[in-house]
Amino acid sequence: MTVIDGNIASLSDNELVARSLEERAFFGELVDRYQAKLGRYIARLGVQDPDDRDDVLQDIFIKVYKNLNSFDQSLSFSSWIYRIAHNEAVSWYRRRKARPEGYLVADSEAVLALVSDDDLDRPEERFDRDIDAALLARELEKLDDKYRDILLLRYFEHLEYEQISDVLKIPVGTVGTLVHRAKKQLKKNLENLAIKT
Amino acid sequence: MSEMTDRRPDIKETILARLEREGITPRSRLYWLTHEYSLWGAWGLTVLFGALSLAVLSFSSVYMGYALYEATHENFLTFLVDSLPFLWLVAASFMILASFFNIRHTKNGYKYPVILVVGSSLGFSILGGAVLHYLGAGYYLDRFLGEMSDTYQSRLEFEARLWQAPKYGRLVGHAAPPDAVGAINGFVFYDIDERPWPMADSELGERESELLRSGRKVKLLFATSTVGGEEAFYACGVFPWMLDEVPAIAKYKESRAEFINRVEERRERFATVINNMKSKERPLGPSPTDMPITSTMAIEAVPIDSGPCGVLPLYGSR
Repeated sequence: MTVIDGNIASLSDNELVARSLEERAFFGELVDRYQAKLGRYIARLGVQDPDDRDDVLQDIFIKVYKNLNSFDQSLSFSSWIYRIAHNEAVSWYRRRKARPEGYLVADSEAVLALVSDDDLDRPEERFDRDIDAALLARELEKLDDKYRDILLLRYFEHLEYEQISDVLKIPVGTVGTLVHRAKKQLKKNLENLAIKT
Repeated sequence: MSEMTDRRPDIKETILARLEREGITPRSRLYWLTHEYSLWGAWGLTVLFGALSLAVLSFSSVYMGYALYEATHENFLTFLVDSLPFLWLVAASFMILASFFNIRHTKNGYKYPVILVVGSSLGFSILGGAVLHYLGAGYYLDRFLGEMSDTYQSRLEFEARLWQAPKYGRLVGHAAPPDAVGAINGFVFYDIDERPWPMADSELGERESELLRSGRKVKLLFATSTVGGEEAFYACGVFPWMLDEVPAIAKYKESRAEFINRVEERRERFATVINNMKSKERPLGPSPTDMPITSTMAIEAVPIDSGPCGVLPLYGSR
């Protein structure tokens, strides 16, 4: 393995991809950069056990490495690696036959960001006041997969519509539609819950 | 969330070690290029096959025999059900769907708006289908498949089956001069199985007689009758057979215009007869026979008030 110079941290993702194709050691830096983010992401997608998560992460990075030549430099590397992570996580819980319940950890900051987001059709005021992050997280888990995944990428991973389009391989317009519908369904569920209580 | 944000420091080393140990290398650029071009190639093929399917579909639809459906079917609906080329309809739809799937799975396929993806797949197939139809590819493919496969029925075979139905007063074939077989007051019609049918031609117009005399392959409507005290077959309508060569649109239009002129005077009469038959709900045709009159046959006398062709044994597609 050649010695990697000290400026590696200043290299962009795309530059690191190009270097990784020449020298495997550069790939380690990409692993470093995305290990934590992807770990959180796949945990939210349902891979909760730390050992399972490590296995899935390994599979993700191995796949990323194998597919480095398919990376389109016109895309953001972040979107591309999220796509692979998403597919691997989905494959993982498909192999397990079911998506585990209670996997969406109540990340109060992210959940509250979802509620207070300017895009969101604001729920009733009482709902604003009484909202409980854990409750919201639970309702998120009850959404259809396509709605839950898109809210997760938008509000938990803070990806832009275009990036989400690249991750899920759907047109940008569809992303907007799905986000809107997902929020609408979430709001409806929460209102029903408020009426019941 | 803290547990999940903890970095597990050995992951990087584990991965690099595994890459080393298992000798994993990135798949070559050529592999991905081939993958991408394969999808585009598959898209091109599905568009091409879609276009071919549409060409056969349009050929089969254009030359379905709308003009004479009353002669072969009870009504337009049964005619459509019997004649529409469903196989090609399904094939064209499948190909268009497959081309949509292929383009969607190219590297940037997901970025294109649905309308563009559907539009290009459908548009190119339709455009290609129109060009191929114009070139006669639909006719050739249909005929080729009919000749090559026992299970596929080409439009040519379908039309022949529909019109070679003596029991219902329909024949396909050509006429021979009267003196060839010695028919009296008429001509001898040889069907596609080369069976001779002596026919009286008193009901035919000048144009129809001319078409018969040309010796070309034609479709013939006939009736049995004892008008004049003598049992005989009467030719009631003669129509050109157009499926032995590529039926070019211009030629088809020309033939159709000619055909319309020829049968216009008879059409009204046929329609009246058909309506009468339907209202009486009587069984098909008088004395249906599958055999030419070359031997003694008992032919039921038909009450005729409008000439031998007044009651035609119309429809019945088999």
